[in-house]
Amino acid sequence: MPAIRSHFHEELDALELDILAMGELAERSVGRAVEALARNDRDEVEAVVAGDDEIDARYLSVEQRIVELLALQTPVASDLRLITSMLHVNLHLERIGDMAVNIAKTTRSILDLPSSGAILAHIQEMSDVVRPMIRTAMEAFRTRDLDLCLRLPAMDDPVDRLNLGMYKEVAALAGDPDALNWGLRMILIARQLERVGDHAVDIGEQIGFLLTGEFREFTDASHPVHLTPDAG
Amino acid sequence: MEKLLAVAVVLAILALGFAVTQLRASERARRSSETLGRRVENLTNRLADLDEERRAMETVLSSMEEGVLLVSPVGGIRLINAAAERHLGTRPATLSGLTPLGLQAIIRGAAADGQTHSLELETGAPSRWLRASAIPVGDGSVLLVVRDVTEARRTESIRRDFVANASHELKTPAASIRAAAETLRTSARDDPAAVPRFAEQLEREAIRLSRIVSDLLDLSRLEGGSDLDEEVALDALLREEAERFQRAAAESGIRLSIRSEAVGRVRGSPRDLSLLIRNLVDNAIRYTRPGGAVEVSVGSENGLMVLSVEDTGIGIPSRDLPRIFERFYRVDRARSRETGGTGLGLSIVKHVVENHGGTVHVRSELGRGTTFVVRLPVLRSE
Repeated sequence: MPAIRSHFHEELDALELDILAMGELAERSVGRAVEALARNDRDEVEAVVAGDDEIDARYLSVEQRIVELLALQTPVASDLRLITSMLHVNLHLERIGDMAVNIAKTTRSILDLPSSGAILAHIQEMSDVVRPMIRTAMEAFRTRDLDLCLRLPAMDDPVDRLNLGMYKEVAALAGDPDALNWGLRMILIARQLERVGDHAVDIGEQIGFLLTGEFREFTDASHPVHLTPDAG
Repeated sequence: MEKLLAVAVVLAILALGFAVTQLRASERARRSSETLGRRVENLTNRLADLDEERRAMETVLSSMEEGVLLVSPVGGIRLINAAAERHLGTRPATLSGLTPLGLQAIIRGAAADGQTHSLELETGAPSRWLRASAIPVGDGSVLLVVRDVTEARRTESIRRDFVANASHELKTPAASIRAAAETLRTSARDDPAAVPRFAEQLEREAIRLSRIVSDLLDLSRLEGGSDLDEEVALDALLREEAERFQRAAAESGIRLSIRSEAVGRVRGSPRDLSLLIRNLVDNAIRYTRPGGAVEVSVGSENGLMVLSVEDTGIGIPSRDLPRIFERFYRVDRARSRETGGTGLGLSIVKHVVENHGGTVHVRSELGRGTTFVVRLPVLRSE
């Protein structure tokens, strides 16, 4: 029996490392997708789309191994919390990978259209905020740091504001149909990045649950918290 | 009787022979024992030497800034030093447990082709840059050496960009002056109506160049320190500059509010502290669109004097925030000519603050605005 439990904990450790690796891949994929957009780089677009296969394969492997652990080991207490948290985090990371693919595919459809430097800077800023959010969430998981989790909602606020601000930026392109066409796709991309930020917060909530045993939504969509402007 | 004597002699001879044999055996045993003793001593010394070597090796490895990790041919981690654990944030037992994933890739690459593989990657929160080399070491093992190059990359980018940015800032007005002068020479004859326009351009660019030179001289002086021989009331300095700021804000269509409460005095240079205030407020006005607002306040907090300059301007992208105090660094080079700054203002601010033993922090959000907060030690009343 002790040998079986030892294998169980080795498998938990291996799953945790796989999820940390997933976080790294998902974060890098978002960064590459936005760089492909900023540089109008067709090859990079295709690399991001192709790279999602590895994320999907890892996602399926992790999920299958978690189901096996649940079926065979009937984990309890903190082990059960860790397993259910990993199940959720795994799904959030896979979705982030999909969003990077959505950004890449949207970019693929507008490579020949005229672009706007101001809007690209806006999109790049969103990427520069959400990628550290993913890293912060994964660091919180790796180091079991509740304080890091609790920083995520505040990090997400500017992302929400930047997403809302995108409509105003795109409206300024209304005079040029091609530019407007491009701009409307940028709204879709901004929305994907905003969702990436939300997934990072959701991962933080799962780590919060893992560490405290109490699930608490950091941001509640059904009871919206009014965003107060940051002092700066 | 003779028989008895003969038996006694034989017995004596036998006893003597036995005694001699015993003596020889005992001598051999003594020699063996001595040899064994020497061997044990040698072995003990050798073990002590090895232990000392191991401890020396551990001392060397644990005091290294570089992370070192030895991976066996079957993927086990045979050795990992403290720096590697610090840089990686984990102590993996096997290669498959090593993150960031890029490190696994270069170790596998080095094991496969026997060549050194290197890469730089960003990891962690807050973000750090690691440079790693995977070096094959002969028996199929691979040595991974990891360095934290976050600061080195920052220094390198400052050095590289400074030359490009400085030459851009100096060459652009010089080229403009030359072009305007050439055009003026021909316009004076062919199109006299165009002369005032080019004369204005000439004047504008000359002023710009002269401001750059003036800021460079200020910076050079500030690098040698500030004269901290006066007691300065920052609220009074702010009030002295207020009228000029109000005029500049009104010309740009910006609402400027100034709040200053009487705060303690600061030991320092009134000239340099004026430069500090002027640069921060001018910057805020320059990067705020018409209809926006700038709020300047001086107060005290936890025994420190706090100067805050907050605007609702265009904001600073997060990737540029760590670099805005560098000389000639521009967030948006294309816009820099519209705004008219020299690219040296925030560098001057940083030098003045440091010369006065204070700190400066910036918070910004793209599209929403920026706040600079300067904290300076207040002079204790006697």
